[in-house]
Amino acid sequence: MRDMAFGQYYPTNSPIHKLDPRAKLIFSLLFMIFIFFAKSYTAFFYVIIFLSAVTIIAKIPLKIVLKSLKLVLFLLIFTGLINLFLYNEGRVLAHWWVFTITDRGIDFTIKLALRLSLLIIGTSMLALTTTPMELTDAIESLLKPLKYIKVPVHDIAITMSIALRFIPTLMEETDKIIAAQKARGAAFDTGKVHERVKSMIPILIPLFVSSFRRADELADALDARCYNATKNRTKMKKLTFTYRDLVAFFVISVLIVLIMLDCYLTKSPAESIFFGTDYYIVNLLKSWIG
Amino acid sequence: MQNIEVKNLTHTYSKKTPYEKVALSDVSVTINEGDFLGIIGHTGSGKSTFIQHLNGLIKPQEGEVKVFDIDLTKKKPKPDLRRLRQEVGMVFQYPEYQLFADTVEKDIAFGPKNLKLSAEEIKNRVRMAMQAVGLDYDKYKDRSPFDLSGGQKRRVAIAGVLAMSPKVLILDEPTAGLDPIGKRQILTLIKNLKEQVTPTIIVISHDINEITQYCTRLIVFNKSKIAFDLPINELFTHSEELLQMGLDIPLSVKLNNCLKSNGIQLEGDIITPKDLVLAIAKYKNIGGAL
Repeated sequence: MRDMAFGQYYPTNSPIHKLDPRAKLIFSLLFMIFIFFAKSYTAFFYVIIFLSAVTIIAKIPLKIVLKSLKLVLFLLIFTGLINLFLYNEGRVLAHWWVFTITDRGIDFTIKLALRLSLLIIGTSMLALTTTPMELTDAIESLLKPLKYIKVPVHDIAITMSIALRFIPTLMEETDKIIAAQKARGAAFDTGKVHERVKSMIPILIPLFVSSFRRADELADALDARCYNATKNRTKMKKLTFTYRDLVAFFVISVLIVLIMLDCYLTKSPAESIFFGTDYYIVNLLKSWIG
Repeated sequence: MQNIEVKNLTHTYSKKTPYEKVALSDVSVTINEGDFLGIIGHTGSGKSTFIQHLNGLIKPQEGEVKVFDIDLTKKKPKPDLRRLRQEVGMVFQYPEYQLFADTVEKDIAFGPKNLKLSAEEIKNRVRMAMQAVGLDYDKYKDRSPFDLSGGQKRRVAIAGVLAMSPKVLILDEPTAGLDPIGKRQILTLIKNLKEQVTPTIIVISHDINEITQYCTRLIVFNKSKIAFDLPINELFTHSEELLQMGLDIPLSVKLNNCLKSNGIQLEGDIITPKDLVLAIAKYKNIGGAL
Protein backbone atom coordinates (compact mmCIF):
# COMPACT_ATOMS: atom_id res chain seq x y z
CA MET A 1 0.00 0.00 0.00
CA ARG A 2 2.95 2.26 0.62
CA ASP A 3 3.61 2.18 -3.12
CA MET A 4 0.13 3.42 -3.88
CA ALA A 5 0.22 6.35 -1.52
CA PHE A 6 1.91 8.74 -3.94
CA GLY A 7 -0.62 8.23 -6.69
CA GLN A 8 0.71 7.76 -10.17
CA TYR A 9 3.22 10.61 -10.01
CA TYR A 10 6.61 9.55 -11.32
CA PRO A 11 9.30 12.02 -10.30
CA THR A 12 11.96 12.80 -12.89
CA ASN A 13 13.30 16.25 -13.51
CA SER A 14 12.11 16.58 -17.10
CA PRO A 15 10.85 19.50 -19.21
CA ILE A 16 7.41 17.86 -19.27
CA HIS A 17 7.32 17.81 -15.46
CA LYS A 18 8.27 21.46 -15.45
CA LEU A 19 5.45 22.54 -17.76
CA ASP A 20 2.85 24.76 -16.18
CA PRO A 21 0.19 22.43 -14.71
CA ARG A 22 -2.57 24.63 -16.17
CA ALA A 23 -1.05 24.17 -19.61
CA LYS A 24 -0.78 20.43 -19.06
CA LEU A 25 -4.38 20.26 -17.94
CA ILE A 26 -5.61 22.18 -20.98
CA PHE A 27 -3.42 20.14 -23.32
CA SER A 28 -4.80 16.94 -21.83
CA LEU A 29 -8.35 18.16 -22.38
CA LEU A 30 -7.50 19.08 -25.98
CA PHE A 31 -5.91 15.67 -26.43
CA MET A 32 -9.01 13.94 -25.07
CA ILE A 33 -11.25 15.87 -27.46
CA PHE A 34 -9.17 15.56 -30.59
CA ILE A 35 -8.31 11.90 -30.27
CA PHE A 36 -11.94 11.32 -31.25
CA PHE A 37 -11.25 13.02 -34.57
CA ALA A 38 -8.51 10.53 -35.35
CA LYS A 39 -10.21 8.19 -37.83
CA SER A 40 -7.42 6.76 -39.94
CA TYR A 41 -4.38 4.67 -39.05
CA THR A 42 -2.22 7.55 -40.22
CA ALA A 43 -3.83 9.81 -37.62
CA PHE A 44 -3.28 7.19 -34.92
CA PHE A 45 0.29 6.97 -36.05
CA TYR A 46 0.70 10.73 -35.47
CA VAL A 47 -0.73 10.32 -31.96
CA ILE A 48 1.56 7.39 -31.18
CA ILE A 49 4.58 9.40 -32.32
CA PHE A 50 3.44 12.30 -30.16
CA LEU A 51 2.91 10.16 -27.05
CA SER A 52 6.23 8.34 -27.55
CA ALA A 53 7.99 11.68 -27.77
CA VAL A 54 6.29 12.86 -24.56
CA THR A 55 7.23 9.63 -22.77
CA ILE A 56 10.85 9.85 -23.85
CA ILE A 57 11.18 13.53 -22.96
CA ALA A 58 9.50 12.91 -19.59
CA LYS A 59 11.97 10.06 -18.94
CA ILE A 60 9.24 7.68 -17.88
CA PRO A 61 9.97 3.97 -18.40
CA LEU A 62 7.68 2.26 -20.89
CA LYS A 63 6.74 -0.29 -18.24
CA ILE A 64 5.20 2.38 -16.03
CA VAL A 65 3.25 3.85 -18.94
CA LEU A 66 1.83 0.47 -19.94
CA LYS A 67 0.90 -0.21 -16.33
CA SER A 68 -1.89 2.33 -16.64
CA LEU A 69 -3.38 0.18 -19.39
CA LYS A 70 -3.46 -2.86 -17.17
CA LEU A 71 -6.44 -1.54 -15.23
CA VAL A 72 -8.59 -1.21 -18.35
CA LEU A 73 -7.31 -4.32 -20.10
CA PHE A 74 -10.52 -6.16 -19.30
CA LEU A 75 -12.64 -3.33 -20.70
CA LEU A 76 -10.51 -3.26 -23.83
CA ILE A 77 -10.84 -6.98 -24.44
CA PHE A 78 -14.55 -7.03 -23.63
CA THR A 79 -15.54 -4.14 -25.92
CA GLY A 80 -13.13 -5.44 -28.53
CA LEU A 81 -14.77 -8.87 -28.64
CA ILE A 82 -18.30 -7.47 -28.72
CA ASN A 83 -17.45 -5.18 -31.63
CA LEU A 84 -15.56 -7.84 -33.49
CA PHE A 85 -18.42 -10.36 -33.40
CA LEU A 86 -21.49 -8.16 -33.54
CA TYR A 87 -20.52 -5.50 -36.11
CA ASN A 88 -22.53 -6.38 -39.19
CA GLU A 89 -21.60 -3.92 -41.94
CA GLY A 90 -19.03 -4.66 -44.60
CA ARG A 91 -17.81 -7.78 -46.34
CA VAL A 92 -18.48 -10.91 -44.29
CA LEU A 93 -15.36 -12.95 -43.61
CA ALA A 94 -16.82 -15.51 -41.23
CA HIS A 95 -20.26 -16.26 -39.84
CA TRP A 96 -21.51 -18.50 -37.03
CA TRP A 97 -24.89 -18.33 -35.28
CA VAL A 98 -25.39 -14.64 -34.29
CA PHE A 99 -21.70 -13.85 -34.65
CA THR A 100 -20.28 -12.31 -37.80
CA ILE A 101 -16.79 -11.10 -38.49
CA THR A 102 -16.61 -8.49 -41.23
CA ASP A 103 -13.69 -6.54 -42.65
CA ARG A 104 -15.16 -3.28 -41.38
CA GLY A 105 -15.76 -4.95 -38.01
CA ILE A 106 -12.07 -5.78 -37.69
CA ASP A 107 -11.14 -2.28 -38.77
CA PHE A 108 -13.56 -0.74 -36.26
CA THR A 109 -12.38 -2.99 -33.41
CA ILE A 110 -8.71 -2.19 -33.92
CA LYS A 111 -9.43 1.53 -34.11
CA LEU A 112 -11.60 1.45 -31.00
CA ALA A 113 -8.93 -0.39 -29.03
CA LEU A 114 -6.28 2.05 -30.28
CA ARG A 115 -8.41 5.07 -29.41
CA LEU A 116 -9.17 3.81 -25.90
CA SER A 117 -5.57 2.85 -25.10
CA LEU A 118 -4.15 6.09 -26.45
CA LEU A 119 -6.77 8.07 -24.55
CA ILE A 120 -5.79 6.37 -21.30
CA ILE A 121 -2.06 6.64 -21.89
CA GLY A 122 -2.45 10.30 -22.83
CA THR A 123 -4.39 11.19 -19.72
CA SER A 124 -2.17 9.14 -17.43
CA MET A 125 0.73 11.16 -18.84
CA LEU A 126 -0.79 14.10 -16.97
CA ALA A 127 -0.98 12.14 -13.72
CA LEU A 128 2.53 10.75 -14.18
CA THR A 129 4.15 14.14 -14.62
CA THR A 130 2.04 16.37 -12.36
CA THR A 131 1.74 16.16 -8.57
CA PRO A 132 -1.81 16.22 -7.18
CA MET A 133 -0.97 19.55 -5.52
CA GLU A 134 0.01 21.13 -8.83
CA LEU A 135 -3.20 19.83 -10.34
CA THR A 136 -5.40 21.43 -7.69
CA ASP A 137 -3.50 24.68 -8.10
CA ALA A 138 -4.14 24.47 -11.82
CA ILE A 139 -7.83 23.77 -11.33
CA GLU A 140 -8.14 26.66 -8.91
CA SER A 141 -6.45 29.00 -11.30
CA LEU A 142 -8.55 27.88 -14.27
CA LEU A 143 -11.81 28.14 -12.34
CA LYS A 144 -11.04 31.67 -11.16
CA PRO A 145 -13.56 33.32 -13.54
CA LEU A 146 -16.34 31.50 -11.65
CA LYS A 147 -15.58 33.75 -8.68
CA TYR A 148 -17.60 36.48 -10.35
CA ILE A 149 -20.72 34.38 -10.06
CA LYS A 150 -19.94 33.83 -6.36
CA VAL A 151 -18.61 30.27 -6.60
CA PRO A 152 -16.19 29.76 -3.65
CA VAL A 153 -13.41 28.60 -5.94
CA HIS A 154 -10.67 28.99 -3.37
CA ASP A 155 -12.51 27.01 -0.70
CA ILE A 156 -13.25 24.27 -3.19
CA ALA A 157 -9.60 24.16 -4.15
CA ILE A 158 -8.36 24.05 -0.57
CA THR A 159 -10.84 21.29 0.28
CA MET A 160 -9.59 19.35 -2.72
CA SER A 161 -5.96 19.80 -1.84
CA ILE A 162 -6.57 18.85 1.80
CA ALA A 163 -8.40 15.73 0.67
CA LEU A 164 -5.53 14.83 -1.65
CA ARG A 165 -2.95 15.67 0.99
CA PHE A 166 -4.55 13.26 3.43
CA ILE A 167 -4.80 10.27 1.13
CA PRO A 168 -1.24 9.10 1.91
CA THR A 169 -1.70 9.91 5.60
CA LEU A 170 -4.89 7.90 5.82
CA MET A 171 -3.26 5.08 3.86
CA GLU A 172 -0.44 4.99 6.36
CA GLU A 173 -2.92 5.09 9.21
CA THR A 174 -4.89 2.22 7.66
CA ASP A 175 -1.68 0.25 7.27
CA LYS A 176 -0.86 0.77 10.93
CA ILE A 177 -4.32 -0.19 12.15
CA ILE A 178 -4.37 -3.28 9.95
CA ALA A 179 -0.96 -4.27 11.32
CA ALA A 180 -2.13 -3.71 14.89
CA GLN A 181 -5.27 -5.78 14.46
CA LYS A 182 -3.37 -8.48 12.60
CA ALA A 183 -1.00 -8.60 15.56
CA ARG A 184 -4.08 -9.41 17.64
CA GLY A 185 -4.80 -12.36 15.40
CA ALA A 186 -7.35 -10.74 13.07
CA ALA A 187 -7.64 -12.37 9.67
CA PHE A 188 -8.90 -10.18 6.86
CA ASP A 189 -8.44 -12.43 3.89
CA THR A 190 -10.04 -15.66 4.98
CA GLY A 191 -13.56 -16.76 5.81
CA LYS A 192 -16.99 -16.25 4.26
CA VAL A 193 -18.13 -12.94 2.81
CA HIS A 194 -20.11 -11.82 5.86
CA GLU A 195 -17.21 -12.75 8.12
CA ARG A 196 -14.87 -10.69 5.98
CA VAL A 197 -17.19 -7.69 6.05
CA LYS A 198 -17.42 -8.04 9.82
CA SER A 199 -13.65 -8.22 10.07
CA MET A 200 -13.47 -4.71 8.58
CA ILE A 201 -15.10 -3.18 11.67
CA PRO A 202 -11.93 -3.20 13.80
CA ILE A 203 -10.23 -1.24 11.00
CA LEU A 204 -13.00 1.16 10.04
CA ILE A 205 -13.92 2.36 13.53
CA PRO A 206 -10.39 3.38 14.57
CA LEU A 207 -9.92 4.92 11.12
CA PHE A 208 -13.05 7.05 11.49
CA VAL A 209 -12.13 8.04 15.02
CA SER A 210 -8.69 9.19 13.93
CA SER A 211 -10.03 10.94 10.82
CA PHE A 212 -12.42 12.99 12.91
CA ARG A 213 -9.66 13.77 15.37
CA ARG A 214 -7.42 14.88 12.53
CA ALA A 215 -10.14 16.99 10.94
CA ASP A 216 -10.72 18.72 14.28
CA GLU A 217 -7.03 19.41 14.75
CA LEU A 218 -6.69 20.66 11.21
CA ALA A 219 -9.66 23.01 11.60
CA ASP A 220 -8.09 24.43 14.76
CA ALA A 221 -4.76 24.83 12.98
CA LEU A 222 -6.46 26.66 10.10
CA ASP A 223 -8.24 28.97 12.54
CA ALA A 224 -5.05 29.57 14.49
CA ARG A 225 -3.38 30.78 11.32
CA CYS A 226 -6.28 33.09 10.51
CA TYR A 227 -7.54 31.18 7.51
CA ASN A 228 -10.15 33.27 5.68
CA ALA A 229 -9.27 36.40 7.66
CA THR A 230 -7.91 38.11 4.57
CA LYS A 231 -9.75 38.36 1.31
CA ASN A 232 -7.06 37.33 -1.10
CA ARG A 233 -4.45 34.81 -0.16
CA THR A 234 -1.19 34.97 -2.02
CA LYS A 235 0.68 31.91 -3.23
CA MET A 236 4.20 30.83 -2.40
CA LYS A 237 4.64 29.12 -5.75
CA LYS A 238 3.02 31.29 -8.37
CA LEU A 239 2.12 29.58 -11.61
CA THR A 240 3.62 31.29 -14.62
CA PHE A 241 3.58 30.37 -18.26
CA THR A 242 7.04 30.19 -19.85
CA TYR A 243 8.50 29.63 -23.29
CA ARG A 244 8.27 25.88 -22.54
CA ASP A 245 4.50 26.05 -22.47
CA LEU A 246 4.55 27.92 -25.74
CA VAL A 247 6.67 25.22 -27.37
CA ALA A 248 4.35 22.53 -25.98
CA PHE A 249 1.35 24.47 -27.26
CA PHE A 250 2.92 24.64 -30.70
CA VAL A 251 3.60 20.89 -30.74
CA ILE A 252 0.09 19.95 -29.67
CA SER A 253 -1.35 22.41 -32.25
CA VAL A 254 0.62 20.66 -34.98
CA LEU A 255 -0.81 17.33 -33.81
CA ILE A 256 -4.34 18.71 -33.84
CA VAL A 257 -3.92 20.25 -37.29
CA LEU A 258 -2.57 16.97 -38.66
CA ILE A 259 -5.49 15.00 -37.21
CA MET A 260 -8.06 17.51 -38.52
CA LEU A 261 -6.47 17.58 -41.98
CA ASP A 262 -6.64 13.81 -42.11
CA CYS A 263 -10.23 13.83 -40.90
CA TYR A 264 -11.75 16.53 -43.14
CA LEU A 265 -9.53 17.42 -46.06
CA THR A 266 -8.38 14.08 -47.42
CA LYS A 267 -11.11 12.56 -49.58
CA SER A 268 -11.61 8.83 -49.72
CA PRO A 269 -14.49 7.00 -51.47
CA ALA A 270 -17.17 5.71 -49.12
CA GLU A 271 -16.98 2.16 -50.44
CA SER A 272 -13.32 1.77 -49.44
CA ILE A 273 -12.66 0.60 -45.94
CA PHE A 274 -9.58 2.79 -45.83
CA PHE A 275 -10.21 6.27 -44.55
CA GLY A 276 -8.45 9.57 -45.07
CA THR A 277 -4.74 9.51 -45.69
CA ASP A 278 -4.75 5.72 -45.34
CA TYR A 279 -6.57 5.49 -48.70
CA TYR A 280 -3.80 7.36 -50.52
CA ILE A 281 -1.06 5.39 -48.81
CA VAL A 282 -2.70 2.07 -49.69
CA ASN A 283 -3.18 3.18 -53.31
CA LEU A 284 0.42 4.32 -53.46
CA LEU A 285 1.58 0.95 -52.11
CA LYS A 286 -0.67 -0.88 -54.60
CA SER A 287 0.72 1.01 -57.61
CA TRP A 288 4.22 0.42 -56.28
CA ILE A 289 3.80 -3.33 -56.03
CA GLY A 290 2.17 -3.47 -59.43
CA MET B 1 17.19 -20.55 25.38
CA GLN B 2 17.04 -18.85 22.02
CA ASN B 3 13.72 -17.24 21.27
CA ILE B 4 14.39 -15.23 18.18
CA GLU B 5 17.13 -15.55 15.65
CA VAL B 6 17.68 -13.05 12.86
CA LYS B 7 20.46 -13.53 10.34
CA ASN B 8 21.63 -11.09 7.65
CA LEU B 9 18.20 -9.51 7.33
CA THR B 10 17.85 -6.88 4.61
CA HIS B 11 14.70 -4.99 3.73
CA THR B 12 14.02 -2.35 1.06
CA TYR B 13 10.78 -0.41 0.78
CA SER B 14 9.23 0.35 -2.63
CA LYS B 15 11.83 -1.72 -4.41
CA LYS B 16 12.65 -0.72 -7.97
CA THR B 17 10.74 2.55 -7.89
CA PRO B 18 12.06 6.10 -7.48
CA TYR B 19 10.86 5.90 -3.86
CA GLU B 20 13.17 2.99 -3.04
CA LYS B 21 14.50 3.14 0.51
CA VAL B 22 16.72 0.67 2.33
CA ALA B 23 15.29 0.18 5.82
CA LEU B 24 17.46 -2.68 7.05
CA SER B 25 20.74 -3.92 5.73
CA ASP B 26 22.44 -7.07 6.89
CA VAL B 27 21.04 -7.17 10.41
CA SER B 28 21.81 -10.16 12.65
CA VAL B 29 20.49 -10.52 16.20
CA THR B 30 19.82 -13.32 18.65
CA ILE B 31 17.26 -12.71 21.36
CA ASN B 32 17.19 -15.11 24.28
CA GLU B 33 14.47 -16.02 26.72
CA GLY B 34 14.52 -13.63 29.66
CA ASP B 35 16.06 -10.78 27.72
CA PHE B 36 14.91 -7.33 28.68
CA LEU B 37 15.95 -5.70 25.46
CA GLY B 38 15.86 -2.04 24.57
CA ILE B 39 16.09 -0.77 20.99
CA ILE B 40 17.08 2.81 20.31
CA GLY B 41 17.76 4.73 17.15
CA HIS B 42 16.58 7.68 15.11
CA THR B 43 13.28 7.86 13.30
CA GLY B 44 13.87 5.96 10.08
CA SER B 45 16.85 4.01 11.41
CA GLY B 46 15.06 0.72 10.76
CA LYS B 47 13.97 -0.24 14.24
CA SER B 48 10.24 -0.36 13.47
CA THR B 49 10.86 -2.36 10.30
CA PHE B 50 12.98 -4.74 12.33
CA ILE B 51 10.37 -5.48 14.99
CA GLN B 52 7.63 -5.90 12.42
CA HIS B 53 9.61 -8.82 11.04
CA LEU B 54 9.50 -10.56 14.40
CA ASN B 55 5.73 -10.71 14.23
CA GLY B 56 5.37 -11.69 10.57
CA LEU B 57 3.87 -8.34 9.56
CA ILE B 58 6.72 -7.88 7.10
CA LYS B 59 8.04 -10.89 5.24
CA PRO B 60 11.81 -11.18 5.09
CA GLN B 61 13.13 -10.21 1.63
CA GLU B 62 16.69 -11.36 2.23
CA GLY B 63 18.15 -13.18 5.20
CA GLU B 64 16.60 -15.41 7.84
CA VAL B 65 14.12 -14.84 10.63
CA LYS B 66 13.34 -17.63 13.04
CA VAL B 67 11.01 -17.15 16.00
CA PHE B 68 10.83 -20.17 18.35
CA ASP B 69 10.39 -23.04 15.91
CA ILE B 70 8.67 -20.93 13.27
CA ASP B 71 10.93 -20.28 10.31
CA LEU B 72 9.64 -17.22 8.49
CA THR B 73 11.95 -17.68 5.55
CA LYS B 74 10.45 -21.00 4.55
CA LYS B 75 7.94 -21.01 1.72
CA LYS B 76 6.78 -24.58 2.23
CA PRO B 77 5.18 -25.32 4.56
CA LYS B 78 3.95 -21.77 5.00
CA PRO B 79 4.92 -20.34 8.39
CA ASP B 80 2.02 -20.42 10.86
CA LEU B 81 1.48 -16.66 11.23
CA ARG B 82 -1.48 -17.03 13.54
CA ARG B 83 0.57 -18.96 16.08
CA LEU B 84 3.49 -16.57 15.62
CA ARG B 85 1.32 -13.57 16.41
CA GLN B 86 0.03 -15.29 19.49
CA GLU B 87 3.53 -16.05 20.77
CA VAL B 88 4.96 -12.64 19.92
CA GLY B 89 2.69 -9.89 21.20
CA MET B 90 3.14 -6.50 19.57
CA VAL B 91 2.07 -3.21 21.11
CA PHE B 92 2.35 -0.52 18.45
CA GLN B 93 3.01 3.16 18.88
CA TYR B 94 -0.08 4.94 20.20
CA PRO B 95 -1.86 1.60 20.62
CA GLU B 96 -4.99 3.38 21.88
CA TYR B 97 -5.70 4.34 18.26
CA GLN B 98 -6.52 0.72 17.52
CA LEU B 99 -9.37 0.52 20.05
CA PHE B 100 -12.70 -0.06 18.36
CA ALA B 101 -15.22 -1.93 20.53
CA ASP B 102 -17.96 -0.31 22.59
CA THR B 103 -16.77 -1.81 25.87
CA VAL B 104 -13.34 -2.40 27.35
CA GLU B 105 -14.13 -6.08 27.78
CA LYS B 106 -15.08 -6.62 24.14
CA ASP B 107 -11.99 -4.83 22.93
CA ILE B 108 -9.62 -6.89 25.03
CA ALA B 109 -11.49 -10.05 24.04
CA PHE B 110 -10.81 -9.38 20.33
CA GLY B 111 -7.45 -11.19 20.36
CA PRO B 112 -8.50 -14.31 22.28
CA LYS B 113 -11.67 -14.49 20.17
CA ASN B 114 -9.53 -14.61 17.04
CA LEU B 115 -7.71 -17.54 18.64
CA LYS B 116 -11.10 -19.30 18.77
CA LEU B 117 -10.92 -19.94 22.52
CA SER B 118 -13.94 -20.96 24.61
CA ALA B 119 -16.14 -18.22 26.08
CA GLU B 120 -14.98 -19.05 29.58
CA GLU B 121 -11.32 -19.02 28.63
CA ILE B 122 -11.80 -15.67 26.89
CA LYS B 123 -13.36 -14.22 30.03
CA ASN B 124 -10.47 -15.53 32.12
CA ARG B 125 -7.95 -14.08 29.72
CA VAL B 126 -9.64 -10.67 29.77
CA ARG B 127 -9.74 -10.68 33.57
CA MET B 128 -6.09 -11.73 33.75
CA ALA B 129 -4.99 -9.10 31.22
CA MET B 130 -6.90 -6.31 32.94
CA GLN B 131 -5.41 -7.31 36.26
CA ALA B 132 -1.93 -7.32 34.72
CA VAL B 133 -2.30 -3.74 33.50
CA GLY B 134 -3.85 -2.61 36.77
CA LEU B 135 -7.43 -2.00 35.67
CA ASP B 136 -10.17 -3.27 37.95
CA TYR B 137 -12.22 -5.81 35.96
CA ASP B 138 -15.63 -5.09 37.48
CA LYS B 139 -15.16 -1.34 37.43
CA TYR B 140 -13.96 -0.97 33.86
CA LYS B 141 -15.23 -3.93 31.83
CA ASP B 142 -18.46 -2.22 30.69
CA ARG B 143 -17.03 1.25 30.15
CA SER B 144 -16.43 2.55 26.63
CA PRO B 145 -12.70 2.63 25.88
CA PHE B 146 -13.21 6.03 24.24
CA ASP B 147 -14.26 7.61 27.55
CA LEU B 148 -11.08 6.69 29.39
CA SER B 149 -8.04 8.87 29.97
CA GLY B 150 -5.01 8.63 27.68
CA GLY B 151 -3.03 6.46 30.07
CA GLN B 152 -6.00 4.19 30.73
CA LYS B 153 -6.72 3.80 27.03
CA ARG B 154 -3.15 2.74 26.48
CA ARG B 155 -3.40 0.20 29.27
CA VAL B 156 -6.55 -1.23 27.72
CA ALA B 157 -4.71 -1.55 24.40
CA ILE B 158 -1.76 -3.28 26.09
CA ALA B 159 -4.22 -5.60 27.87
CA GLY B 160 -5.64 -6.43 24.43
CA VAL B 161 -2.24 -7.78 23.43
CA LEU B 162 -1.56 -9.48 26.76
CA ALA B 163 -4.83 -11.38 26.46
CA MET B 164 -3.18 -13.37 23.67
CA SER B 165 -0.74 -14.72 26.33
CA PRO B 166 2.39 -13.95 24.34
CA LYS B 167 5.77 -15.37 25.33
CA VAL B 168 7.56 -12.37 23.90
CA LEU B 169 6.16 -8.86 24.23
CA ILE B 170 7.28 -6.05 21.94
CA LEU B 171 6.39 -2.47 22.80
CA ASP B 172 6.99 0.39 20.36
CA GLU B 173 7.40 3.71 22.19
CA PRO B 174 5.08 2.68 25.01
CA THR B 175 5.20 6.04 26.81
CA ALA B 176 5.04 8.41 23.83
CA GLY B 177 2.62 11.28 24.32
CA LEU B 178 1.69 10.50 27.92
CA ASP B 179 1.89 12.87 30.87
CA PRO B 180 4.48 12.16 33.60
CA ILE B 181 2.03 10.17 35.72
CA GLY B 182 0.91 8.10 32.77
CA LYS B 183 4.54 7.51 31.85
CA ARG B 184 5.47 6.37 35.32
CA GLN B 185 2.50 4.02 35.45
CA ILE B 186 3.39 2.44 32.12
CA LEU B 187 7.03 2.02 33.19
CA THR B 188 6.01 0.30 36.42
CA LEU B 189 3.59 -1.80 34.42
CA ILE B 190 6.32 -2.95 32.02
CA LYS B 191 8.60 -3.88 34.90
CA ASN B 192 5.80 -5.89 36.52
CA LEU B 193 4.95 -7.61 33.26
CA LYS B 194 8.54 -8.72 32.88
CA GLU B 195 8.51 -10.25 36.35
CA GLN B 196 5.08 -11.81 36.31
CA VAL B 197 3.61 -12.24 32.84
CA THR B 198 5.93 -12.38 29.83
CA PRO B 199 9.51 -13.59 30.28
CA THR B 200 10.96 -11.74 27.29
CA ILE B 201 10.30 -8.08 26.61
CA ILE B 202 11.55 -5.83 23.82
CA VAL B 203 11.02 -2.08 24.11
CA ILE B 204 11.64 0.58 21.49
CA SER B 205 12.17 4.04 22.88
CA HIS B 206 13.55 7.45 22.09
CA ASP B 207 14.03 8.29 25.73
CA ILE B 208 17.37 6.93 26.83
CA ASN B 209 16.83 7.96 30.45
CA GLU B 210 13.67 5.93 30.53
CA ILE B 211 14.85 2.82 28.72
CA THR B 212 17.97 2.49 30.86
CA GLN B 213 15.83 2.23 33.96
CA TYR B 214 14.72 -1.28 33.13
CA CYS B 215 16.45 -2.80 30.10
CA THR B 216 19.47 -5.02 30.59
CA ARG B 217 20.61 -5.04 26.99
CA LEU B 218 20.49 -2.35 24.35
CA ILE B 219 20.56 -2.51 20.56
CA VAL B 220 21.39 0.73 18.77
CA PHE B 221 20.16 1.12 15.17
CA ASN B 222 21.90 3.64 12.99
CA LYS B 223 21.33 4.13 9.27
CA SER B 224 19.55 0.78 8.82
CA LYS B 225 22.37 -1.17 10.51
CA ILE B 226 23.00 -2.32 14.06
CA ALA B 227 25.64 -0.02 15.51
CA PHE B 228 25.84 -1.60 18.96
CA ASP B 229 24.38 -4.65 20.64
CA LEU B 230 25.69 -4.62 24.20
CA PRO B 231 24.73 -5.20 27.81
CA ILE B 232 23.71 -1.88 29.25
CA ASN B 233 26.74 -1.46 31.51
CA GLU B 234 29.11 -1.75 28.54
CA LEU B 235 27.22 0.43 26.10
CA PHE B 236 28.04 3.77 27.64
CA THR B 237 31.76 3.31 27.33
CA HIS B 238 30.86 4.29 23.76
CA SER B 239 29.27 7.58 24.82
CA GLU B 240 31.21 9.57 22.26
CA GLU B 241 30.03 7.45 19.32
CA LEU B 242 26.43 7.57 20.52
CA LEU B 243 26.55 11.34 20.74
CA GLN B 244 28.06 11.48 17.26
CA MET B 245 25.11 9.46 15.92
CA GLY B 246 22.91 12.17 17.34
CA LEU B 247 21.59 9.93 20.10
CA ASP B 248 21.34 10.93 23.71
CA ILE B 249 23.04 9.30 26.68
CA PRO B 250 21.49 9.06 30.15
CA LEU B 251 21.85 12.10 32.39
CA SER B 252 23.72 10.10 35.02
CA VAL B 253 26.25 8.93 32.45
CA LYS B 254 26.71 12.53 31.33
CA LEU B 255 27.31 13.63 34.91
CA ASN B 256 29.70 10.76 35.51
CA ASN B 257 31.66 11.65 32.37
CA CYS B 258 31.78 15.23 33.57
CA LEU B 259 33.14 14.14 36.94
CA LYS B 260 35.67 11.91 35.23
CA SER B 261 37.02 14.73 33.11
CA ASN B 262 37.45 16.70 36.33
CA GLY B 263 39.51 13.93 37.85
CA ILE B 264 36.86 12.28 40.01
CA GLN B 265 36.78 8.53 39.42
CA LEU B 266 33.66 6.82 40.74
CA GLU B 267 33.46 3.06 41.11
CA GLY B 268 31.06 0.65 39.48
CA ASP B 269 28.63 0.88 36.52
CA ILE B 270 26.78 4.15 36.51
CA ILE B 271 23.66 4.26 34.37
CA THR B 272 20.68 5.28 36.48
CA PRO B 273 20.45 8.20 38.93
CA LYS B 274 20.41 5.63 41.74
CA ASP B 275 23.76 4.18 40.62
CA LEU B 276 25.22 7.66 40.57
CA VAL B 277 24.00 8.61 44.04
CA LEU B 278 25.30 5.37 45.55
CA ALA B 279 28.68 5.72 43.82
CA ILE B 280 29.03 9.30 45.02
CA ALA B 281 28.13 8.28 48.57
CA LYS B 282 30.73 5.54 48.39
CA TYR B 283 33.32 7.91 46.96
CA LYS B 284 32.70 10.41 49.70
CA ASN B 285 33.06 7.78 52.45
CA ILE B 286 36.28 6.43 50.99
CA GLY B 287 37.69 9.81 50.07
CA GLY B 288 36.46 11.24 53.33
CA ALA B 289 36.29 14.72 51.87
CA LEU B 290 33.38 15.63 54.11
